[in-house]
Amino acid sequence: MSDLDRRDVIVKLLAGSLGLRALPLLGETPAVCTLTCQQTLGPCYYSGTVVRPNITEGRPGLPTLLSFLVVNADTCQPVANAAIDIWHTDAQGIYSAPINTFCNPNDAGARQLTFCRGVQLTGADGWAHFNTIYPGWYSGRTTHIHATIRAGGNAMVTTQFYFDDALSDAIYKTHPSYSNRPVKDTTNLRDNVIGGSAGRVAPYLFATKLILGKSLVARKVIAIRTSPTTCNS
Amino acid sequence: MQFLMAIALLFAAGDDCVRQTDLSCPAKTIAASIIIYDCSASDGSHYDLWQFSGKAGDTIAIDMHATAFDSYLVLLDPNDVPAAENDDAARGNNDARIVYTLTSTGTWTVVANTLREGSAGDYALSISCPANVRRRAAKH
Repeated sequence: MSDLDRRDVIVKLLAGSLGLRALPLLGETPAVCTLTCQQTLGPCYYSGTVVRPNITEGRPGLPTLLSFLVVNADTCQPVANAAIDIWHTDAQGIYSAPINTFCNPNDAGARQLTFCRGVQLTGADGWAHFNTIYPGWYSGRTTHIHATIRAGGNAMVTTQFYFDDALSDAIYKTHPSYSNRPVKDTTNLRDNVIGGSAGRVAPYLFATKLILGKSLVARKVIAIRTSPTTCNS
Repeated sequence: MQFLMAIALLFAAGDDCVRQTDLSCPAKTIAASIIIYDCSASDGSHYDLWQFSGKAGDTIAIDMHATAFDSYLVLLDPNDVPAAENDDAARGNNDARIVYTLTSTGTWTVVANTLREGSAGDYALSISCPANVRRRAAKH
């Protein structure tokens, strides 16, 4: 099979022309700016994080650019100067920082670092970006990224975002930073925070593009109100 | 299972995409086309790769304009780490624009992409470096 034929097959597979589902398209945005709901903060938050675009601290993993668009849920207009505070695990499913040892068991080194944590402010267009790595997994949870969004000094919503299981599975099986733990034990549908149905997970999935097989861009729209969010996902 | 295999294939096949070198500082506009045999991302969209040499500290502007599809740009650093991306140069605008201050000296790559799968057609790509960020690059 030639390279062109091979690409065409891959594209047809990915585009769903063989009856398979495709990853969420990067261009998909909600027809309405549906309010982003609360999900648990979890035990691994660390308040000592800093404002910075690059949160990797040199940790190995699949290079990932996370982009968030914060909008007002009522007006659908972009929200400038909103602070997005994110935290997630490294490629091995370990959190950084001196927090609950459940988050970094048997890894004293990780407790001295602050990798995969950071804050960014949205620009006038409502967008904020983080340079990071794809998160690894740990037992009992699907692949996820935590976020708290603050505006005007108030925490508007604390929530979590997810990736398509097929993307995670492919990364964990093939990328050298993850392949020593190739099979995560919890899918999105079985996750104890967001699981239960595909419809429940869908609003919290990143839209992604994997480029050159080694660079990932991921986008998510976050809709907030000017008073703290009260809905639950 | 087939879907997982497709993504795994994409990991294996991704880096044989041709990187064109026509893009260059201090300013250049090129006309090109995205076709279905171009490289493909995991969402089924297609892209061209354009390289340019840049210096750390320079602020560059990249503009992509098309009428046949919604443009999407990604900027990769010399290690192919995604540094910036953009869908709409302005609200309601299908053009894409990245203004970015380079963090290292070397060969950077512009990914000229369609936002959605199944799109193709002609486009114009412009670079300005160092950028005049107050003036939009010319459209074609």
